[in-house]
Amino acid sequence: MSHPRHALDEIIHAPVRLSIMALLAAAETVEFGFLRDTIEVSDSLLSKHINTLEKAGYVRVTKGFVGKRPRTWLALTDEGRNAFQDYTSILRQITEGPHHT
Amino acid sequence: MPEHDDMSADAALREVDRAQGAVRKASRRGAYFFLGMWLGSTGCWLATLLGPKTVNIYVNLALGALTVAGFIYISRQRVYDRLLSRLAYPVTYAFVGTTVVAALYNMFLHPQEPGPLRAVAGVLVALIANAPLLYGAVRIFRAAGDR
Repeated sequence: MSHPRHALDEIIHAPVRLSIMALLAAAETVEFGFLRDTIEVSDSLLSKHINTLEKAGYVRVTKGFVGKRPRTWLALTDEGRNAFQDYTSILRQITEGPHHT
Repeated sequence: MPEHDDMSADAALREVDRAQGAVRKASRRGAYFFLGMWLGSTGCWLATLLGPKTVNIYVNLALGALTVAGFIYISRQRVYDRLLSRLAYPVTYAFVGTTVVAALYNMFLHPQEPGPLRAVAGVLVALIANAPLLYGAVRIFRAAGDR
């Protein structure tokens, strides 16, 4: 029987992308600047990881305006939400053992 | 934050909690917003129903300012919690409904003569008119506490 860590989603299991997914999982939509300030990364690094998550179909990016200011809004897709749920349940299997799923 | 650390499962779960805590904090602000609107609007309705007629114009101005402030606050949010997003429309529609009912009561049924009936009815109507806002605040505070 293989160890549950082999089932961890490699797209999510990277520090910055995990923070992005965790934050988006708790929210409906999050503004790019809020995400950047909360997880303490640069604009370019955040854009790079969002691009990866968007390509995987986990994150939806919406651009709009608040007054005259451009804003970028991010949200998890249903696929992203399911993937994150699976990911956290595997983490719990690892930390608590297979009997605590 | 390092980009390619090999994370342990414990560290990953801690990071999930930390990131989600930031959203919980923001959602509590939404609950305080509902609570503030509830307090302000209840005060306005009590003044309208039980206060002298001369205060009505100021009360209506205060209600208008409160509504505009609410719209500005909501539109400036940078994160929308899932529960807050789900509650925002039902609470708003219910609040508009109860406000219309209270306004109709005030126009056609509210006793003009001072007395205990006028006071009790006024307090009841003010509480009912703003109950959706209190409901929204309580739901969010409870959810933020449970998570």
